[in-house]
Formats: sequence, C-alpha cells, structure tokens
Amino acid sequence: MKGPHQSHDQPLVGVVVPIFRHSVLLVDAIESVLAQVAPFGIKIVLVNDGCPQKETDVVCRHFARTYPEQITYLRKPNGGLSDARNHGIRHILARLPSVRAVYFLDADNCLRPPALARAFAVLEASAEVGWVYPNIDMFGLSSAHDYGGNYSRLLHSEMNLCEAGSLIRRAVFEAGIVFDTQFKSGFEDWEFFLSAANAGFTGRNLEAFGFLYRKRPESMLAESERDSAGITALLRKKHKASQSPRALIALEQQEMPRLAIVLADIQQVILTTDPACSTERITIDDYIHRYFLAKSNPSRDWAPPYLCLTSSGSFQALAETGLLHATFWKLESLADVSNLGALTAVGLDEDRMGFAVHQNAQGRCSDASFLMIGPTLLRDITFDVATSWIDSLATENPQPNVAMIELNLPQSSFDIRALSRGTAIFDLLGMLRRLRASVWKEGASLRLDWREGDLMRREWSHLILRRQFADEPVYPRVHGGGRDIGLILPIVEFGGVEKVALNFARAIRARGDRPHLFVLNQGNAAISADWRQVLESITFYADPSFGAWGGGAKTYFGTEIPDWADKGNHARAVAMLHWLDGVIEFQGGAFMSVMGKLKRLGIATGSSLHLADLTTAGRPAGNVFLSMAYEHAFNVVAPCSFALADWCHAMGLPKEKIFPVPNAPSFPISANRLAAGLAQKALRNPQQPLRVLYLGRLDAQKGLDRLSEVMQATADDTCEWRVIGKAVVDDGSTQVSPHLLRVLEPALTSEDDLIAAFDWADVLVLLSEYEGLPLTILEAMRQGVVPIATNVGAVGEVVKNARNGFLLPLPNAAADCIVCLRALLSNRETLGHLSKAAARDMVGRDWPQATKAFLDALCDS
Amino acid sequence: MQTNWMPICLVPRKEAARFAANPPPGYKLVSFHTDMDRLNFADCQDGDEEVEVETVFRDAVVCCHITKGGQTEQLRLASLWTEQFGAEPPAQIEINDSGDQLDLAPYLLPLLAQSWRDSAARTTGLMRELALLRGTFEQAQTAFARLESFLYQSGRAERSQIISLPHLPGRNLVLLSKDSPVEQRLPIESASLSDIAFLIIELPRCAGTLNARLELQESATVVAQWAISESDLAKGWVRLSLSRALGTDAQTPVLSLDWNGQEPVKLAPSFHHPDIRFRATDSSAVLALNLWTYIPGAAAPLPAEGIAQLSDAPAVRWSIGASSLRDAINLNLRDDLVEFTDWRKSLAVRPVSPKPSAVRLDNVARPGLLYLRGGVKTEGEFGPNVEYCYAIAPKAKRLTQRGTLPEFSAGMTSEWLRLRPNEWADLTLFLAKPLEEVCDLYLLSRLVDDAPPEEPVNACFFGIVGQAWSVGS
Repeated sequence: MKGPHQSHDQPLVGVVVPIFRHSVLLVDAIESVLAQVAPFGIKIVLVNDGCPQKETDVVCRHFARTYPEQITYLRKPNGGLSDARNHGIRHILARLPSVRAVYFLDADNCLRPPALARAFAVLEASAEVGWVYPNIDMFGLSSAHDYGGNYSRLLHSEMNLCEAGSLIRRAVFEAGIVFDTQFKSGFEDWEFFLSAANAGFTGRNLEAFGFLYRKRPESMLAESERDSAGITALLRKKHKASQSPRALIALEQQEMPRLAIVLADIQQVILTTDPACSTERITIDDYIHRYFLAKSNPSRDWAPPYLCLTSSGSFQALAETGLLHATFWKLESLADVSNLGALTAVGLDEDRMGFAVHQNAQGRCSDASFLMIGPTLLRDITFDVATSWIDSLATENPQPNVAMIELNLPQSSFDIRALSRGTAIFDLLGMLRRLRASVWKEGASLRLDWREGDLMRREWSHLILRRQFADEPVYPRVHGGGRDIGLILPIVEFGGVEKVALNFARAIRARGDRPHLFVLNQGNAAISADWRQVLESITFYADPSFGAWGGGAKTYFGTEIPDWADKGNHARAVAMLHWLDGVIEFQGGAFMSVMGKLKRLGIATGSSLHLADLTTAGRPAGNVFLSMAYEHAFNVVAPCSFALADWCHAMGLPKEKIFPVPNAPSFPISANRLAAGLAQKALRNPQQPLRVLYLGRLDAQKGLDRLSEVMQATADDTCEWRVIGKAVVDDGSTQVSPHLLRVLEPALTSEDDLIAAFDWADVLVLLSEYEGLPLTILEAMRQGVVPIATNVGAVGEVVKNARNGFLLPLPNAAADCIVCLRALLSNRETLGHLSKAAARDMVGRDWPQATKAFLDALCDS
Repeated sequence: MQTNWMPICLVPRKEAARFAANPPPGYKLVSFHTDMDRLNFADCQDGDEEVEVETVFRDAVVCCHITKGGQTEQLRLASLWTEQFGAEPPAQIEINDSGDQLDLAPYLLPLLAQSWRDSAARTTGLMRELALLRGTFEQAQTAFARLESFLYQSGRAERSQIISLPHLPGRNLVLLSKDSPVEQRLPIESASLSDIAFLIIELPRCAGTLNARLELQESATVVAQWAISESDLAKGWVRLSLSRALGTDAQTPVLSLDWNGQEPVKLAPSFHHPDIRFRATDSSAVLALNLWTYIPGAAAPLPAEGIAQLSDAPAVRWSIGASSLRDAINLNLRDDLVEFTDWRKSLAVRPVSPKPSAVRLDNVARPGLLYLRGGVKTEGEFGPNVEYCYAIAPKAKRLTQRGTLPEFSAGMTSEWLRLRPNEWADLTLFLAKPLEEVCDLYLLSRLVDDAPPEEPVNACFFGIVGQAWSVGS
C-alpha cells in the first residue's frame, strides 16, 4: 500500500477476506489489496472459515507473518460465508477503532489499485451514504455489468443490486446490521444490504470502482441462482414489512413515480404515483430531458412510464369529485390495453355519481380533459419518423384506439365543464411534437455505455409492485399517515345497508380516520352530497366480470359460493385495496373471498352483517351464511343486532370477533326540530284520521301482501295511508298490488323529506317476512311514530309490544295489525303514550356509540 | 519484502519463569493459562504484557510443558484452541528437564528440521509451478509474435474503424481554449482500442501545442499521450494512434485535450446527449469521433494519417489502409475509373490504355519511409494484362489539372508489375533513402496493349504497409 499519509497503526479502512477453498487465488486478492494506492492505512483481516485445505492456512500465515502491521489472520470453525464475514466485522469493531469503513473482498476476486481510495472518498464526502457499491467487471468468463444510477430501495426489493464487494460505513455495523447466517446458499449480500436500507442507510454506486469479479461457469452465484426461489422466499419472509405493497408503493412514489402529469396550461409536469401527492414538479423541458436520459440508458436513469395530459383546472376539478385516484387507476389500465385512456364528464340533474368505461371512444374523445399514454406506445411514437397515425387523433376518424372514462356527476355540485371541455388531445400532440423535435432524441438512441445494464427493471419499475398482484395495475394511493378505512358495497342506493354504511363512514370520520367508498357492482350510484361530504374518496370497481352473487357451482351449507369468489380476478381487487388500514364489507357477497388476501397483507378486515335472507322456500341463506364460510378472513364482524350476534356465535364465529353494532337512526336530526315535531304530534286533533305510513323497499321481503290486506281492510276506517318507496331489486319477482300502487309515492332521498314524512305519520306499519333491525323503525320511533311490526329478526330488540309499539307474531300479522290500527284509531290517548315511549326509547341511540367497540377492535387488529 | 516475525513458543503460565530464564534464541516466549473458556497469553520477555490471541494463533509453532500440571493446562489449551479456531493446536512437547537452566534447543531442532523440509518441498513446488507458467507464457508470447508477424507480412494489418460519430453541423462548436481542457469519455470499452480521431473545424493562426491524453478511469492510468504543435495541425480529422492496441482488460477510456495557444481551437460536435457523462466538457454534445480497434495488446502499423503517441521510439511502420484508399483523389479525366469497394477494402484504378490511370493519396508517405508493400490484383476471370506501379512525390508537386501527373524523381517509383487477371501479388517500392518530408503516394495502373478493353478492368490496390527500415519477422 502506498500513499503519503498512510498509517497502519490507525487504519481507516478494513478489508475482510472470508476464505474457504480458494488457497491459491487468495494470493491475487491479498496482493490486490496490498497494492492499493491510498492516502490512509488499510488493514486486511483474513478470515479462514475452517477451510479444509491446509494450504489456505499456510498462505494466510505467511502473508500475516510477512505483513504483520497490515494483515491480521483469523481462523474459525466453518460457519459459512456470512459467519466468516461477521467474524471479521466483530474483530474490526472490537479491535480496530480507527477503521471507519469495511470492504468485503471474496478470496477469488480482486481490486484495482485506486479502488478503496476512490470509494472511501465517496463515503467521506457524503455523510448520507452508508455503503458504496461497484459495477462488476468480470474476468475469466469476461463480461461487464452496470449497476449505475441512483440507488433504489424499490429495485433492491426486487433484485440483488449491491455486490458484497462494497465499502460499508462502520456505523452500519454499529447499528447491529450483520450478515444473516441463515443464507448459506447465496444472496446473503442482498439480505444484508436490504437490512441496512431498512435501518435507514442508503447506498451509492461508484461507476469506476475498480472491482474485478472472477467468473467461472460453476460458482456460488450459479448455485444460488439454481436455488433462487427458496432463498428469495426466505428473504421476503424476513423483510415482510419492507416488501409489503404499502411500503413498496411509498418507495415507488419517492424514487420512481409512475406518472408524469402534464398540466399543459401552466407548462408544469407533476411526477407522482399518487395523484394527490407530488414527488416533484418540473418544467416540460426538464421532463423531456429526463425522458431521453432514461431512454439513453434505461438501466441507469428513469422517467415515469405513463404520461398524462390535462390542465390545472381539469386536475383540480377531478380532485374535487373524490374520484381522482380511481380515475388514474382506471386510466392506467386503459392505457395498457388500449392505445390511450381518456376522460370526460357528463352533468346530471340528479344527485348521483357514475363511472362508465367505453372501450372504443373513437370520435367522442375530442374534448377529453385527460389523456394517458403508456410507456411502449410513447416510445414508439417518439422514435417513429411517421406521425400520421397519432396525428389522426385530431381528426374525425382517429386511428389510435382510445378508451374513455365517462364520469356522471351532479352538475350542481361539480365543475362539469372543466372535465368535459378539455384540450388533452391537442396537448398530447403538442407534447409528442416537442419530444420528437428534441435535441436529445438522436443521442438517446445511441448506446454509449460499454457495460451491460443490469438494472433494466428500472424502466419498468411500476411492474415491481404489480408482480404482487398478478401484474394488475396497482391503485395509485400512498399511505399518508392516519388511518384509511375502506367501505365495500355492491351497490349504493337508498337501502338500509347503505344507510348503515354511511353512518359507519360518519363514525370513522368522527374518530379522525378517513373513510373511502368502493362500489363494486354499479356504474351509477346514489352517492349523494351526504356521502360525499363524509368520504375521502370514491372508487367504482368497474369490473364487468364481478358479480356479488350468482353462477357458483359450490355451496356452503346451502348458501351458494358465488362464481366470482371461486374464479374471479381477486388480484385486481386486492390491487385496489392494498393501501388501506382496514376494510369493512357490507353485503359484499363474492367479495368476501378477497378479504383473506387483504388480511394477509396486514389490512384489518371487518364485515357488517345485517340479516339472513330467505329463499323462496323459506330457507335462511345469504350474506350472513357466506360470512361464516369466510370467517377466517375477518378480524372482526359487526352484526346489526344482539340477536344476530348470538346467531353468529352459535354458527361458530368466535366471541372475540363479534362486536354488535345495533342499528340507530340513519340520519341526524336537530334537537329543536325533533322537539318541535314531537310537540306538534302531541297536539294533533284526535278527531282527525289516523295517519299510517309504510316506508321502505317494495319487495316481497317487506310483506307487501299483508300490507295490501291491511290497507284494504281499513279502507273504510278513518285511516289516511301513505306508501313510500320503490323496487330496489328489479328482478320482476315482486308483484305490487293495485291498492299500493294507487297511493304509491316515490322514494324519499333527502333527510328533510324523511323527517317531514315521520312528522306526518302517527303509525308505521312494517309487516316484513324477515328483517334485520330496520332503520325505518328506529327513525320513525325517534320522531314518535308508533311502529306496528312483525316480530322478525331483531325487531323485538327495539319494539316492545304495547309499550312503545306493537310486535306482531308473523303467522297472523295482517289481522293483528288491523286490530292494532283500529285500537289506536279509537284510543288516541294510547297512541300518545306509545308515541312518547317510542321517542324516549330512541334517545341516546346513535352511531358513534354503536360503532365504537367495533371500530376500536378493527383498528387494533 | 522483509519480514521480522518471530515464532512463538507457548509455555504454561505456572512454568513460565523456568522457561524465561533461558529463552530459546529467535523465538518469542509466551505464557498461557486458561480461565474458564478464555485463553490468556502474556509475553514472558516483555513484562508479561498481554499478547493478542490472533497474534498467538498466527505465530505459535510449539507448546512446551515440564510438569504434569503443565501438561493438564496444555491439554486444556489444545481443546480450547480447536474449539475456537477450528484448527489443530501447535506441536506439543514435553520437556524432560527438572533443572533450573532449561535448554529448549534440542527439543526445537526436530521441529525446525521438519519446517525446513516442508519449506523446501513448498519452494520446490512453487518453482515448478513457475516454470510451468513460464512455459505457457513463452508459448503464448511466441504464438502472438508469429501472429503479429503474419499480419504485417500479409499487408492487411489494418486497424478497424468501429465507431463513427459524425459531425452534425448547426450545433455549437466545442471550444478548446487555453486553460480550459476538453474531456470526452469515449463511447466504447478500452479493450483493443487503437485510434481516436476528432475533427477540427477552426484552427487559429497562433502558436500552440495540442496535448492529448488517454486515461483509463478504473485504474486511473494514463495509457497514451500525444503532443501536436500547430504546424502539424490542420482543419479536418486528427487521428491519434496508439502504437499498440490496448489490452483485454476492459475499462472506461477518457480522452483529454489541452491546447495552450492564445486563440481557441474549435472542435466539431456530434449528437447532443442527454447523459452528461458522455458530453464533451462544457458542451451538450458528444465530440464528433472516429474510433478504431486492433488485436488487443498487439502493435499495429501506424496509419498513414495517424499521429504517433509520445513514446521512446519513432514509428517504423505505417498502414495505408482502407481509410486512405477511400479518400483517394481521382487524377483521371473520367470519374468512373476510380472506385473504392468496401467489402473487399480495395481501390479499383481502372486502366483504359497504356497511358496510366492514377489516383493520389495525400500525405500518406511519412518522413522516414523507406519501403512500401501492398497487394494488387485484377479482379475477374478474364481480361487484359495490367501493370501496377507506386510512385511518391512531395506535396509541392501536386498538379491541380486532372489528366496529368507530376514528374516523379528517380528512385521514387516502383517497377511496373505486370499481372494476369485474378492473379494476386505484392507490389513493392524501395526508396534509396528515407523520406525527409511528408509526401503523396500515387497508385498507377495501365494496360499492356493498346486495344481498349471490352469491359471495365478492375485493377485493384489493397492495403499498403510502409516501413522505415526492414524489421525482422
């Protein structure tokens, strides 16, 4: 070792050489270290790992005796490569306090003379760098490999990119990072550096490091390649947290975000994976340079694979819909399967939201506000001399296939114009012209690096995460602290389940967490302002292959296992939900089959259970039975009543998983309004007709035949009837009698209308065949409406016969109902008592209280 | 290489005083004792200072004891030694001496003898291996020398151009100014690199020297340097030639150019490149470059237009190869009489009568040239006999009018070599004395008969090698 200031007494660099069966080639390795040209002392620590070849011992001893100041010889029983390196590390930590960095040189490899000085200079100049890793120049079987470019933990999670022959800062070892001796067949260096990265250290490639790797046809590396699956599995198991989708997408966002979103009007490019965040904002010129830099050597440099053209106004307008992430997720899918993915919007008069995909939108995309193009087509167009194909986008007969997302939005709430009158096509064509005319283009097509780029996966970094999801596009959302809870519903209309879900969302929001809605089976849903003001985001699954029920060939105790549960594309669903902390499904049917996969990702899973359906033959079946089939997939379940909780336990669900969430009125009412309504009800003139209300879905479950019978029987009495509702399940199986149809009023969608209806009514009639715990009863009772209901499901938990209403046995319910109505008609005093009792019994029954234990348990799972 | 290590003789701590009274010369006496599972060592001759365990492991060659107690300690040492190091302990010797003055020498001599035997065997083995390697090396060197010789003799020892980054007009020129050197990473690996050419677009009228340096990044070694004064510079390609192509050890080559004239030299840019590593200093473009390779590690004739690197010996061989033939100047009235064919790297100079057809290769005859040799052949199965000739003339004799040739001085032309169709031969020109200035080379062909040929006659000149003096081969 040469150099003006070297000191072997106070070496700054230690070189650990683990030795096992390289007794002759070892000489080359040692000599290459002795020949280092460095302005500091270098200590070589030879670790004989119990090598059975006596010559190894002789060579080590001779060198150590000849260079006692520079070489320490350690011998230990055989323990494998990792153990040998650790032995050297321990020696340096204990005995060589001046050593600031350690290099690992395998006994058959070599270093060029300036290698250690050069690498050490990088460490000294960059406090943030934990280790300096080389390109690999192989001799023997000659080849050269480039591991250059920024160090990426995302890439490192996918492949071994740091050779053990790296210079590593002492602090890494002092932090307790050593080689894992479980890795006896290779990849121990991959594991080591992953551990270092997880501990907060980072690496840096040194292009001209001067590391020489002896490559022979049969080597340990070849061995490890043969068993790579097993070793990789071990590695992934050990680093499960850092390999999780949530961790990887955060790395993607930080290191290599997949999107370049061009805001054409302000000439800015947002680089991001999560469209609600941004890793970087750059100019279009900078983007173009970065794009061609990546094309000139995809192994070293990177540019976002997807390019999205829009304007700042459209981007803002989309963000305000809550559909931002869902839209970008879908656009990415469309850009993969079509040439381009586009977005437009249509205004609705109703307070609903819709998300439709038109696979071929030729001729309809001229006003698109967003346009996304994928990596392959972007490259082809950029380097293609002909432009007519893509330029035809601006014509009436565009040749590229454009798939279009059409958002349906209430125009009273959103800026439809910003989403439906875009110039994305012209912005894209302009951008492509700039790319094609770039001064960097020709240079980028030259391959000037002589080493083979070994990190070509950098160009396809967005696929790293996809591999965990069967190559499905991954929902572009990065976890941002706090808790995100997903609510899964097949449909969102005005049913009780949706109201329960809405109140779960409110409770989640009230806890300071973020609720997100996922609609599985519907392209147009009743996502009203009530929903929107509480939700953080909305996603339409928009997968035509999904069906919550149907087609299943297997049953679980008589309940069908839906076809999608058995054979559906679960990976896509998991890719949509991977980023959440918790997921609660509401009557999701087949979607339960996904919950186990989510749970394995560390996502807390819950199910909101409502009622057992009855088949036409009267056999209980449906979602609650299916949830028993998938019980293992849930951390917690939330039956809507105590009765259902008992049933769940009886069916085999462990007690610890059951957290009853007894239903409560689905919407709030102010204390003043409530008091005023009750007061007015108390002052009603007893001579006026009895006001009787039916409010609910019009399907057979609700006992419409009985209702009809009661209406007919009381036609001559002084009863004033209102029947409010509509058929939700439009399967043609429900026959509604003319009596009902004559007085039928459309369903009420606003809270004000519902409050007014309950203010009007004296009595609520609900003669259902089966129920859970209907919200209508609770809401009616809160406003002093006396319920007359069949004793099914958990209705008896709130309706106490002759105390706050009437609870009728199912077999003779219609006749009993007529009796009750006539009794109330004739005795308004009783009506008043029952009304007050009903209102009193509902005091304090609210969702935050009801959901607390369940949500606590979900969040602790 | 010097070593002053001393073998260690281990003795039990309890017996150390007796051994220390008469330590064996050339050995370090180290006492040991075992404390639970720990081994402790102390230097008997240095105030019982602790000796590090790895030093003992490295240097201990023998372990001695006298008493039964010492033997017990020694057995314990052996056990811990094997456990800790996974190796056999040092040789163990029992000393049968109860006196106060121990003499260890008789006990150590057999060990020493064994060590000598082992050492002799190992040295012999190493010498034998060296001899085998030397034989292999000599064999390879001999074969390589023959290969080089064959290439020279065949006249085709030409460097291969492998990369051409053209000058792209319209881009900013790269300025090479005093105190602002230009560095250009070359877009290939170093292995077999032999020549680098860059293009001067503007050359100032001022004195100066252009210094060039080729460095290999990984090993930080300068492998070639050139110094070119302004008088030897001209607008156009400047070809820097290595006397020997770089070896097989692939590294990253970097060319550095430094100019000390007052006005800047302007160099031609090629492609803009997005990666700063490949741009010339202070430019967004790569320099316009031509790069050649040759057999790795082999000396190659200097190309006629090449500038030799600074080295001990002046060039003795030049190659007038494809790049020179391609640039030949047609001296005939008809354009169709001269054609370069890439695939066979030959220049056809088509004769049409006994009056010579000719081309001129500018500046390819370098000072010191004494001898030229190159292949000639009339391609085709049938046709007239053709005569071939080389001629050399100073630059000053160039004629601008086509269809005319200068007067060649005596001794500056070869004999006319007559060949039948499809017959290969070497054409040679010996000069009476070495050239003193740069000259032009003329390639001439003519028909023997006056009858005009029915078909064009492809009289071809192939690569030519020039030599300063005869080189043994």
